[in-house]
This record gives sequence, C-alpha cells and structure tokens, in this order.
Amino acid sequence: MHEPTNILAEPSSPSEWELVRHAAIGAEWAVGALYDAHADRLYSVIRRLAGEDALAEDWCQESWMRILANLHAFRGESSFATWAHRIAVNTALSSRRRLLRRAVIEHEASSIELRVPPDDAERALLRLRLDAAIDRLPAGMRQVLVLHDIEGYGHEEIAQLIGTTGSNVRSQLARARAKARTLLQEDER
Amino acid sequence: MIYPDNRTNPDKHIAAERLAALVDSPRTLQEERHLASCGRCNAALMRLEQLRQSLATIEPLRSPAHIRARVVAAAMHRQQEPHRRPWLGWAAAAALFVSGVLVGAVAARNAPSGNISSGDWLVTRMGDPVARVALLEAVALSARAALAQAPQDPGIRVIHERLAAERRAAAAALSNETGGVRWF
Repeated sequence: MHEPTNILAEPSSPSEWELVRHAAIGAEWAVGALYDAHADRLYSVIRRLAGEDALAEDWCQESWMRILANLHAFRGESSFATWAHRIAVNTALSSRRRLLRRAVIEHEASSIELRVPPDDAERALLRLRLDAAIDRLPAGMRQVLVLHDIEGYGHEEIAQLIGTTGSNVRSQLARARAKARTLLQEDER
Repeated sequence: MIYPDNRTNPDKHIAAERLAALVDSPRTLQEERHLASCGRCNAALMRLEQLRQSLATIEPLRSPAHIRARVVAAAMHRQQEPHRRPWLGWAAAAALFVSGVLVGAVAARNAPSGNISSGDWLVTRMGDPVARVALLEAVALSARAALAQAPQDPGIRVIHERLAAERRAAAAALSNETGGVRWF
C-alpha cells in the first residue's frame, strides 16, 4: 500500500518553485526561507521609497502579507524576485497615495543622524550619505529617483506605476538628481 | 539651453536641472560647445554622473531582524483562520478525502469479493452504518465549506463532488438495508 507523503516536509535542496509551493500551503520553513532569500532587496526598495524607518516597516510587512497571500497566483513566468519586487513597489506606492489622501504633510528636511560604521569604509560612508540625501528628498522626487536610478525602472514604467506621463517622470527625475546633488554638497561642507 | 546664472552674474551656464537630465539624455550642439569650454558646468555634470553611478551600484539595505519575526508570525497566524485561507480548506478537504480513499482501499482489499461499490465497503467495514453515513455527511459538509471559500478552485470542486457521491451511495445502501428509510 502506498505510504502517504508528508506534503509539508522540507526537501533537502528545495528549488524556488518548491519553496513557493510549500509556502503557499503554509510550511513555516518555506515561508522563512523565501523571506530570507528576498528580504534585503525588498526592504531596500521599500525603505528608500518610504524615507523613514517606521513607515518602511509597516509597508514591508504589508508587502510580505500580500506576497504570501498571493503565492497561489505565482505562475513562474518571471522569477519570484521580480514578481515579489513588483508587489513591494506597488504596495509602497499605493501606501504613499493613502498617506497623501490623509493629508500627511511632506517635509523636505529632517534631522538625519549619520552613523559612521566602525570600519569607516569609504563605500559604506558614501551609501549612508546617499541614503540620508534620498530620505531628505520630497516624496515625489524620491520615488522617481529610487525607481529609476537605483531600481532600474524605465521612464514609461514609472509613469504607469505612479499615474503620470513619461515626460513628467523625466522632468521629476532631473529635479530629483539636482536636488540630491545639492543635499550631498551641503553635507560635504 | 544655456541660462543666465543670476541677474548679477553675466556668465551663462547650463541650468542645474538640465545638467541632471544630460546624465542620460542627448545634448544639443550648443550644449556640447558650452561643455567643451566651461569648466564649471563640466565639473557639475561630472558630479551628477558620479551620483548616477553611485545610485546604480548602491548596496541593498539590511532588513531588520524583527521584521522577519513579525512577517513569519503574521503568516502563521493567518493559517489559524481557515475562513480566510481557501487553500487551508482545500488541504483539509484533501486530507479527509485521501484518508477516506485509504480506508476504502484497505476495506476493498479485505472484502470477500473483488467488485464492491464505494458505499458497500464503507457500510460493511466501518461498524454502525448510520454513524458511517453521518460521518460521510460531516466530511461532505467540510468539503462544501471549502468550496464556498474557493468556488473557482478545481481541486476542491473535484473533492467535493466525490465526497457527495460517496455520501449518496452510502445513504442509498443504508436505505436498502433499512427497508427504504431515507437517509439524508
């Protein structure tokens, strides 16, 4: 007689598809493995779009809940990383639109404490300075700069995501770069 | 286009936003000529190109550890709410159906004759026939609940239909044994 298979058991070297399949039926080990594989990249784009830690954490959790709730809809037509990244970006942008509708005031400057890492590596310091400048950008500029110059989205793609034209995206991007450059110069003095 | 720097400065330079756009946009002939001779605009453009390069290669941030705990805990908590998780109802119904098939397979193998109806093997192998029909009714109700949560799921629909057929067969067999009494 055929022995029933434990469908929740962890395979020895799970493929991405197996991880998704097991996470979709609630295997905790698979949920954790998917999270560990993609957390940093998703957190990066969400945190840079949010501009602050508290918002980023809320948007991050909301993004992951949407990703996990829709695993059954993942067809493998793109990589899981690409699929999840798009959900995270859409979640962050729609969350920001909700905030705007609640009339949250965008503030241009906030006191950002720069934490220099103990090893004082030049690249790590540059990253901190860049992130501090990105955080200080107005939200509209920030989202265009992050999506285009960091995440690699095209002008038309961004236009579709945020509901504007490619021409507006190009203009906003130029303003964002100029503003970021100014903020970095202020930081250098 | 070349813009005046300010009202008091007669020098004409490329505006900051236009320079930012030139990082990855084509330049006009006039802009090319200006950049060929203006150290200030050239230096500003170089800094913007460096910024663009830095952003393109910026390292990812590290996701805080406490977010992982929250995400996994929230995901597991959602599993405890089957009415929100159609796949949980599917998994439960599938488990019930598979266990029923396994019981039936054992019963069929041990039955005195090779060909028996699905209702027959449950009635003959599982003690009180009324209790067996009641059990099948309960299992079919579970499958129906799962189907209500995920009406488009083909897997759940198949399981529900098979369980319903098993229940009808068992009830019909019991009715025959009890002189035509209708069971469900």
